[in-house]
Amino acid sequence: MGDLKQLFDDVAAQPAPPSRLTSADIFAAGRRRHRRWQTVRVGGGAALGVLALAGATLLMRPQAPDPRQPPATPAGAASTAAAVATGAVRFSVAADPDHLYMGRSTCADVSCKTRVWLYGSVDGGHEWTPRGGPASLAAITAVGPETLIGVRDDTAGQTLLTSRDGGRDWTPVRDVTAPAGHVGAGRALVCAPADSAPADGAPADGGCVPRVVDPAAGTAAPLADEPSLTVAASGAGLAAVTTAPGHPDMLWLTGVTADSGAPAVARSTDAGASWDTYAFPKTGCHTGCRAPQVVAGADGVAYATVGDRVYRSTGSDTGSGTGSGARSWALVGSVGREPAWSFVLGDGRQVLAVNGPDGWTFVSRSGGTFRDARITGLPDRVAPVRRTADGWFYTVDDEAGRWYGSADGLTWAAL
Amino acid sequence: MPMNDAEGRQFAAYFAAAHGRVRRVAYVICGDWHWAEDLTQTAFIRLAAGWHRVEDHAALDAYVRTCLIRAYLAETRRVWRRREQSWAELPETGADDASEAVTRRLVFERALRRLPPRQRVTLVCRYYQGLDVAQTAAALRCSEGTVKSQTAKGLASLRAVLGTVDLSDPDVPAGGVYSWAI
Repeated sequence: MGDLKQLFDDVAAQPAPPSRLTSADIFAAGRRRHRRWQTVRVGGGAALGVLALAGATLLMRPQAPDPRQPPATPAGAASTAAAVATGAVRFSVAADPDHLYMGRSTCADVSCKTRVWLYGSVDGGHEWTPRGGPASLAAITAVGPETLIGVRDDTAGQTLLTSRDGGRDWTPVRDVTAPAGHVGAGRALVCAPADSAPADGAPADGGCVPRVVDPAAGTAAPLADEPSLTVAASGAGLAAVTTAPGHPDMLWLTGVTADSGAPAVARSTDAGASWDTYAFPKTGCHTGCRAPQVVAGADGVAYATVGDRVYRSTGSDTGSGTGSGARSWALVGSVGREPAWSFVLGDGRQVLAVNGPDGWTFVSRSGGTFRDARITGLPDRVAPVRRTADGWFYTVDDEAGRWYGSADGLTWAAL
Repeated sequence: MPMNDAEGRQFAAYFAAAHGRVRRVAYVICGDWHWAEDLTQTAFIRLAAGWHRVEDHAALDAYVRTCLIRAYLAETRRVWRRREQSWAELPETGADDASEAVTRRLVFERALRRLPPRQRVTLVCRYYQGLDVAQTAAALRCSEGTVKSQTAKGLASLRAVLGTVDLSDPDVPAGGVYSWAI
């Protein structure tokens, strides 16, 4: 055991960067959190009182619904948002501003892991319909309003699934060896988990395999021209592909170069038919580099975040073949702290979410420095902002299960 | 933001004493200093939110430890965090710094990252912080049997990667390797 203790000590002995935490900020944030809870408790008590009165008027109802079960709605009937299971949102995706999907945990504590109830809405979140569960769905992505690709993550490993009826029925995809020349309409490029994924669902460090999934045919095919980088593996295998709203032919994959392990981005401007790859400097990668985070805007402009550094690539840049993309990315600046995620506004500016003592701090590049991005209408903590193919911005408060939408990314409203 | 009450000063004193080692434990768990900073912040914010209810200051370390572990496990279940924490293979060490200790540490770090989060946390609790099975179960809010099975699986995975490292003794001496005491 001496060896193991020494190894842990060696890891812990790594030089730590300066901490930005201060007791004053932490204590103030804790106080705010406490006040919010008090408000919730008072409000909850009032709500319980109202519910008790309402319940007294509904005593003729034969039974109360089990909170762990999906709403007991008749087949085809819609349930209101208030009837949706109250577990945390494990994943969410919008095909367009009307067609929304989310998987909610089957219990309120941490024991459920990826077991979710799947819900869908066809009216922008006004009403939600249970689409089945509990299921071991780890993530989904939308190819069309009712066409979904999902990843089942259970003891058998990770499996790609497709649904063409809004998540009510799922079918495992069939792997085909004939490569796909490009992605094409009605299909999607996903960084698919390998069939040999560990049984406990832990992501493999060796990257994932980009595959073109055709929900209509129920197949997954490798790319004919694969990008020359090790694509970053994600837990659910669906998050490594970045698309540009309104530009279905523009795709980005992130990972590291196979030879040097440097952070790298591969970009395709022809729906995956060909790729150019750019490797970023290995700044601060002492024990292995992570894949960059890439976000893209409607005009094709893309931003790559590597550590706390931000690079920009415009849609007009061209390049083909490995390394020629070196001309395509320019250093914008350093945020000073690694952002958690980012998105691109309608005007092409990037907004970065930096973890603060009381939630996200949104900053944007302005006047040569990163300043407050003046985002309004969002709570302290939300999932990363995403955009639908038609450019609509959306995000979700995972804990509360509340969706938020925006037309420009600056002004937000709860759905 | 100034703190002008007694509770604030007490919290500041505890924060000053514990912040550094909590952050280092977070780093051992997650392997990333930025993430460790976030986890530390989350744990202390939760502590600050309930500071007015603190009666037993001797239990603060255990409470912060539980907050830290729960924050980490919650984060690992988020899809975007999984993406953010996608790690490449470690680079080969160069000839100049290829000392045995550095190589062992790099291999060990890589093996730790390959472990599922609960196994990783279990091993950190038991073999880095020196907690016994019952204390680890309390920190993870699971049964002692789960701790034992997670420990066995984690050690088996580490053993497969590390090979010659001595992982045969499952017991940790009293006091452990790392103390949470102030």
